[in-house]
This record gives sequence, C-alpha cells and structure tokens, in this order.
Amino acid sequence: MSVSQRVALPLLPTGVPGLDAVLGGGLPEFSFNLLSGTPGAGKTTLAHQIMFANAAPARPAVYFTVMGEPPIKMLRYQQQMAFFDPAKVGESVHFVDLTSVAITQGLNAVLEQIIQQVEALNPSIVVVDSFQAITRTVVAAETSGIDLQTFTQRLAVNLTVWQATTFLVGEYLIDNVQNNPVLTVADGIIALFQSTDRNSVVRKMQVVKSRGQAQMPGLHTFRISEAGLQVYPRMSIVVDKMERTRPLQRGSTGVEGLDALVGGGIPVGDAVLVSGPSGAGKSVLSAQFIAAGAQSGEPGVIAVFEEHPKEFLRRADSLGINLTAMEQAGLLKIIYIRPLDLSPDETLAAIRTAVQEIDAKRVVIDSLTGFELALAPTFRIDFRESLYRLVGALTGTGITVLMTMEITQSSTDLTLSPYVISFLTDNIILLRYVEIAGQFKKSLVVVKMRNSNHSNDLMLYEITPHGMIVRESLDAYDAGGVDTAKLREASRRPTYPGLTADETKLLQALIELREAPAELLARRAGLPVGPQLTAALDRLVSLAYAARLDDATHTYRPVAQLLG
Amino acid sequence: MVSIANGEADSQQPMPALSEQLARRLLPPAAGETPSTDALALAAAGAYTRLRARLAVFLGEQGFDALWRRAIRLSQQGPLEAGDTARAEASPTLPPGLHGALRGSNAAEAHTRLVAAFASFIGLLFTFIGEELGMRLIAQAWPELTSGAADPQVEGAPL
Repeated sequence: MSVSQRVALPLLPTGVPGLDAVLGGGLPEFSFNLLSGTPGAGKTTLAHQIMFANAAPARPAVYFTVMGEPPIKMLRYQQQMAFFDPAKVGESVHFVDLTSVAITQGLNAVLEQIIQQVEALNPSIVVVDSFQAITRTVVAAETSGIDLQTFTQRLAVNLTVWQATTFLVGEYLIDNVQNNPVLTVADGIIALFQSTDRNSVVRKMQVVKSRGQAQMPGLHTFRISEAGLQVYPRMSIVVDKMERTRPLQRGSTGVEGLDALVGGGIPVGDAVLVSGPSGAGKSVLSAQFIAAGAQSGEPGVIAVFEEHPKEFLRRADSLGINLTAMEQAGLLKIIYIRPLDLSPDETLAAIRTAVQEIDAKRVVIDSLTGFELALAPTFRIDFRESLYRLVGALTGTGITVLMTMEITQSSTDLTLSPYVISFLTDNIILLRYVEIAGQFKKSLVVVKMRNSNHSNDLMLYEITPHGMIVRESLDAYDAGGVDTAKLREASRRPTYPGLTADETKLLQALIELREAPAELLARRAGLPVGPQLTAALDRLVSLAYAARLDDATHTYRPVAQLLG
Repeated sequence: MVSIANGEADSQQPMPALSEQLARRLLPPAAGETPSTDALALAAAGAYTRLRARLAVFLGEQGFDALWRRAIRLSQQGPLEAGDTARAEASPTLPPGLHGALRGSNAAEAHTRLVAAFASFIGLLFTFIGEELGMRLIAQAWPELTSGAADPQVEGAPL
C-alpha cells in the first residue's frame, strides 16, 4: 500500500518531556496501552500526567480505579504535581472508582460500568488502574463470570471503537508477561523500572512495544519531580550528521600563543580534550576558550562538575575574564549539575537546553573526572560509551566542545587520561609540570589536532593575572626524564644585568613580539597595567634595552643587538 | 476556586471554619425556616444521599463510607454508647451514625449535631484532598452553592 493510501495515525502528545521522542513522536490515537512496572516506579503519575495533558471539556479523560490504590490517597498525592489542575477535576478529568462493583458484582459488571461511563462521557483518554488487581480478581474469584482474556478483548474493542486512547496500569514485570493476554492485545507497552546499584537508584523506562511507531530502543532514564516525569532519551548520534564533511573553520582558544601551536585555532565542531594534573590551569584555559568565543559572537555553555559556579566565576574574574558580564549579556550559561545518581542523558539534556537557550556554539565540560563522579554507579561502567554518545551528540550539531580531564602525572609514563578516551577526540592538548632549575614549571604539548599542522614542541606557559600565556619552547632543554629538563649549556638564556625579574619578563616579551604597545607587552608578560609597568618600561629604555617609538601610542621595540 | 467569602455583616464575629459554613448551607435550606427534628433528619438524609451520589463515584462506595464513619466518630463528643456508630446504624431516614445524635434532642440540638457531623466529614475530605479540590467536588454536587444566593441561616456569609 502506498504511503498516501495508508490510514493516518495521529499522535497524541504525552505531556511528559522527552517521552514523545522515545515513543517516536507521541502516542498513537485510539491505541490500547499498558503502563507496567514495579510498585513506586511512577506508573500512576505517568498516567495522570498524560491524562491532564490531553483532557479537554469536549473530549475528557476518565480514570477508573479498580481495587488498586484508594482514590482518596491517589488524589491526595497526585495533586502535589504541578500538572494536576484541580479545575479540570469533574469537568474534563473524571475519576470513577469501581472497586465495590468488582468486589460485589465481578468483572462483567466492571466492564459494563466502564463501557457505560465511556459512552456517557465520550472520553479521549481512559485509564484503568490497577489492571493487575483485576487480573488477581479473576484468578481469585471462582464466579467472576468472565475470563481475563475475554475481559481484555472486550475492553479493548469497546474503548477503541469509542475512540479512546487507553492505558492499563499494572505491576507487570516484563519477564512475566509472555503469556499474558494483555500483552497480546496491547498496542503499546511502556515499562518502568527502578534500577538499584549499591546505594544508587536510577529510574529507567523502556518502550517494549509500540505498534506503528519507530520508538527509540533501549532503556531511557527518567526523573520524577514536582513537575512530574521527565524522560531523558538515550542519546543517539545521527549518522548523517556525524559523517558530514566538517568545515575547517577554526576558533580561537583565547590563549595567547596557543592558537599558533594548534594550527590556527581549534577546528570548529570538534571536541578537544585538555588533560593535565591538578592546578595546571585546565579551568583557566576553559574560561579563556569561552571568553574568546563570546568576543567573536559565539555564545558558550560551561557545565561545571567539580566546583561551584560562583567559584568558577570568581577565579575567572581574578584573571580578568568577566564571565558574569557575558552571562548577563546572554553569551554564557553556566550549568551546575550535581544531583544524586546523574545519568549521562540527563547531563546532555541540561546542556542541550542551555545550548538552545542562547544558541551556543561552544561547550566546556569541566571536568570529565567530576562528571564521572556525579554519575550513578550503573553509568560509570559505561562511562566511555556514554561519553562517546554525549560528545557525538554535541559535535554532531556543529558545537565545539572542550573537555578537561585531571590526570596524575607520572615520572615514568605519559598518560593522556585514566581512560582510553583519546578515540573520542581528534584534538588533545596535554598540560604537564616540568622541573627546571629546581622549580616546577608548566608546559604543554599539542598531542594531536585534526587536519592541522600543529606544533610538536613542548612549550612553557604561565598562568598570569591575564590568564594563560604560552611562553618559549623547551627545545633549548635536555630531557632528564618525563618531567625534568636541563637547559643545554649552549642554549642558556642570556642574562640582562641590572634588571629585575619583572623587567626581564617585559624584555623577553618585547623580544618575542619585536614591537608592541605597553598594554600588549603587559599582557604578554603577565604583568598588570599601571605605574609599575610604566616604571619598568622606563627602566628598559633608560638602560638601552628598549626604545620607545611613539610617545602617543606607547609603542616599544627592543634595541637591535638584542634581536641579533 | 470555589470560595465562600467572609461577609461584612459578621466581620465582628469569629468566622466559623469553612467546613462548618458549608455544612450549615447543606442542611437548613432543605429543612425550612423553622425546622423540626424530623425535618432536620430528612434534610440530613437528603444531603447525605446527594453527597454520597457524587463523591462515591470517585472515592468509591467503600471509600465514601469509610470517610463518613471516620467523620462521625470525630464529631462525637465523649465515649461512644453501644450501637452509636455509623457502622452499627442503618436507618432509611437518617445518614449512618446520626440516629444517636438526634435521639432525644430538640431541634436546636439536633441541628448543632448534624452540622457538626457534616462539617467533620467536609473537614476530613479537605484534609485528604485539599480545600480547593474538595470544594470543587462539593460544588459539583451542589451547583447552587456557587449561585451567589445568600444563606439566610448564616449571617453575612454570602457565596
């Protein structure tokens, strides 16, 4: 049958964020569905949420309770949910209890009552809760007058013909439904679980069956809050997006001297891993990356896992990076995800929401180490796979992702990360400590950078009051081990008699830049602009290390013999 | 939300609980201007039947009956006498549990006890499902409660 000849299957929205995507667009109208799960899994809440989302005076919803949770308790608890609208009760949402009918007259009478109410109210949504209790009644009663299969069949036929989308709520376990007539009749089965791992409990759901729909396979995590259920569809990577030819545009890292090392900037739409030991400056680099994006009109999102956002903002501010202003200008969103038992999909949902809100082009995950710790144990086992899907889902939409990862620096090997995750990214920058002349210095190396003629040099860098600045190469040093280096005698730096440490820094910056205004020199040297800078520059000029080219612009250059 | 406003006329008087205001409204109009004990009993039976018809639909008959019995018990002062419970009584002319309340009472006493029983029931309903939802369901059984007609028996409590 051609597509145009097929009967249309209109889809109802569930009113549950994320669930429509899992179902393949929504619930097929007039379908006969089973909501199954263990006690406390959220079946009743899910049924109520769907019911309140769809009920309207012209096509109301009817909630039949049969020997399950007492209605007075159900109403007491369900009205705590934000979706529960008391104004709809009795108008477009009707509650009917048939427990007495089931007890005194049997299932046949229950069926007749349901049909009678449906014919009278003309509902679009019908819920029968608990259908499992009905099953037990059939088994227990010798004279129920009707078997379960007949009951289910007649119920399905009548409710479908009356154009109602039906939900049977029951404590079925998927393993036990193989020979259950309800399973045969049901068009859709949504199973809810509570997955326990040590002290952690994670809610998961599975669309076991959905006739006529291309549902998302697998288990999807969900949470129940005051707002009701929120489903986090298991991330999948859209292949055509992943396989697309990615543009070779580049975005600045925001770190002076680093763009040149990575071949002109980070390829847009790529993921880059910044790996390094504690205190190496990974978060600083992250902040500069986001600030550089904001300056070029690319909003960014920072997902913070290790520290409170306020601390992140404060530290960035101390480096002259005003993330707060960017946040206020709508160029930045900082998300702090620290609930118990986090799932990767929940993280992605939060990041995606933030990305959509400000049309972000850059995302920072700081750090993968903190992210892993926040995950429920059950997800830590599949951390690599989760990360793969998370990174793929973000870069698949053209977002440039920078992830930081803390590593323990060893004297005997060069570790990029405690996990084998280098396959996740085409771009890795490794930060390391190196011991030089009795001091710990910071160095970095670009391990790999997609389609880039990147530097292989180990470079010294500093965290200055202006942020991270890449200094000179370590090529003048002999390695004495992975994290030690000795300056070769022949390459020993010249000394500049009479200069203080800050003045020497300024002179070195001037030699590197060859010609620069005072402000740029200050940034390069990592010194604050002010009277001290002016005094230092004046001294360089007075000692004939530098020449002032233009008093108006305060441009300097080193004297000729220093450059030779 | 369906609500009962505090009238200006009785602003000097302490406002009875909402459940009591409602209970007063459910009974006297059916009982007439100068009700006798029998007329009050009839009005109470009518109110009970009307409440049960609406509320038992969603609470279930068993749920409604259990709630009523609990309300009767809460409205009774002092120790129970034999047979003086909603479960023990079954009178075609009185709601369960109220036979003892009216036994030997004059009209004024009977009215007080009936109001107490119905107020107890409504209060209990509010306790479980909240005032807003409870009011809504009662108003569905008594649409005239929201019609704006003042109750002559309750001073200054216009709807």
